[in-house]
Amino acid sequence: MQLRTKITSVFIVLTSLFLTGVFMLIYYVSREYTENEFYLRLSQRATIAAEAYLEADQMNADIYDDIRIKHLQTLPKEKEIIYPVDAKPKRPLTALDSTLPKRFFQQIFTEEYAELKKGDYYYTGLLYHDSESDFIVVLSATDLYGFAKLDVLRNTLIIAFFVSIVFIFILGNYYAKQALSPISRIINEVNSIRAENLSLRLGTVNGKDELAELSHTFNNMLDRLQLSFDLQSNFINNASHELRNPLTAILGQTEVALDRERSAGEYHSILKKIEAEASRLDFLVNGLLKLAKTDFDSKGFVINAIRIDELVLDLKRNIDVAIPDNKITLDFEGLPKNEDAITLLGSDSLLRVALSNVLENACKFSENNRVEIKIVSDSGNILISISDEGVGIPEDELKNIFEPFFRASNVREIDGFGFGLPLAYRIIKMHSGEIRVISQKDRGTLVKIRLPNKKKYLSTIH
Amino acid sequence: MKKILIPTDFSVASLQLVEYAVLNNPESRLHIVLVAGHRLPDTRWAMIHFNEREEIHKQFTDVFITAKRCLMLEHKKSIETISFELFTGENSCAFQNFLEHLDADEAIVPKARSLHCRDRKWFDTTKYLKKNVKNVTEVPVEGPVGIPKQKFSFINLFNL
Repeated sequence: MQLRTKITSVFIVLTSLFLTGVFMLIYYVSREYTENEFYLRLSQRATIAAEAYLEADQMNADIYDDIRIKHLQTLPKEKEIIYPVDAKPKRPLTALDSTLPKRFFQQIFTEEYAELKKGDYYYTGLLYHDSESDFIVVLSATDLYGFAKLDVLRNTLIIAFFVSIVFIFILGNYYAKQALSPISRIINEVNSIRAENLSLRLGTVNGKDELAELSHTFNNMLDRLQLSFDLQSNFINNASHELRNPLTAILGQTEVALDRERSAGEYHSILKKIEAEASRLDFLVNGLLKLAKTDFDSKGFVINAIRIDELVLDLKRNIDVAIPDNKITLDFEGLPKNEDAITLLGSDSLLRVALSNVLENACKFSENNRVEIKIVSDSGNILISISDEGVGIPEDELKNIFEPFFRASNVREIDGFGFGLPLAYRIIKMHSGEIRVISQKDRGTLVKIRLPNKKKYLSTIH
Repeated sequence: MKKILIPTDFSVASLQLVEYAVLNNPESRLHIVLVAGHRLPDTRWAMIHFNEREEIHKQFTDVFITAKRCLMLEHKKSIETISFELFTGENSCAFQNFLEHLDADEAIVPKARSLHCRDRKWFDTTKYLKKNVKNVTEVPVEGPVGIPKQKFSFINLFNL
């Protein structure tokens, strides 16, 4: 069923139920009021009848009769019956009307007043105390005018109900159509977006309602998709370019070697250059493989208990060999005494790769100026911060730094392939951690890594 | 020691500004003052019973307290203290008086993004800091953009 039809149907059903309830209440209240008013009139007439016929004074009887005829309209099919009774023992002295229920007369005896409706007739009875004896006065009539009014009211309410339903249907259908037309527009616009025209965006909807939010959400998703597409095509371009460079150099060197006869020394020099380029190619291909592996094989690594401070110390030793000019300082002052707080469960080799990539970046992009590594522990997490005072990252490029092969615009002269940080990001994610980068151009970069310690990791998986 | 003013909406995302303060001042000890804007109450009774510290403490969530504690721990060497101040004025003159009292050196504010205040009693002091503090650094801040409260309008019922 279409949403428009659903909304209209639900709207009509709810309104019908509500209107039915309200109209029934109106009819019920009107009927109650009409009946009570008629009973009141009957009781007044019964009292007057009792006064007129049962008082001994003839003049009073004539006055009462006159009042009744001139000022109080005779009720339709009005009948009055007076029964002499003995009130104390509650005993009638003549036969009572057998067509009326006995409880009616019993109520008159006990409460001195009773009301009864039988068919279209209304009865009121009252117990009248005379100076000499007691009487029950029963007055009955039918409320023809009241019934007619209630019939008119009922018919009016029924007609009003159906007219309302028709109007509600028309208006509800129109409003539902208007409210949902933006969705149809969005559907048409989204259908027109393809891989070739991914830069298309949904027209901005004014307002802050759910449809405007839907449009914004779609547009944000399209932004991310477009970025991903662009980076993927850049990735392929960059990877091809990067792989091609060493291959071109190798081919060039072999061409030179095969060009003519050369001395042993020259051949040795050429082979050395080929070896350097091949190593570079090997490094590049390994990096690509690792990237691919972390994408598809996040559950396949071996888990060990690792002391983070020992890992970092080991990495520092390795970097001291690879980059002797490094100015890395270690700040372990905040390390807790509890060994478990700085032990985490994970892959030693992968974490080494992640942390060494970050450390090498810090050294490389700060031209071996001061780099500080600090490790603290809090609330089940191990917090590692690596700060440098290097070139920093331009703020509009910060959002792309974890994309493979992305290189910031201010580091093009510095060697690198652009997969160190993406690899570190994926490895840390695999270890249920977080990595954040805070950076300002020409001020430096602060990399913050948060990893769950052993206790927290185990409690998470259990 | 340097005193740095940072606007806050008591969210964890706003604490990123503190990290930028540490990044920009690697050699200094920092006294961070987190500034939030709060409108003074309308009624006499509420004004008499208005307590700045209490209002600030009401905004603290467990996540925020944990994040602040982690910050202090990670940057113990750089951050001397993190304190909170409430600005209850309504204009730049009031803010200048407020600044005189604080005697701050610089401010760090979010770039192209306003802080999201949960309650209409609270407001973002970024624009006051940008206008009145001499050394202001604008930095990008990541995090969820606050969804502004939607005002109900009768006309909007029919605005299709």
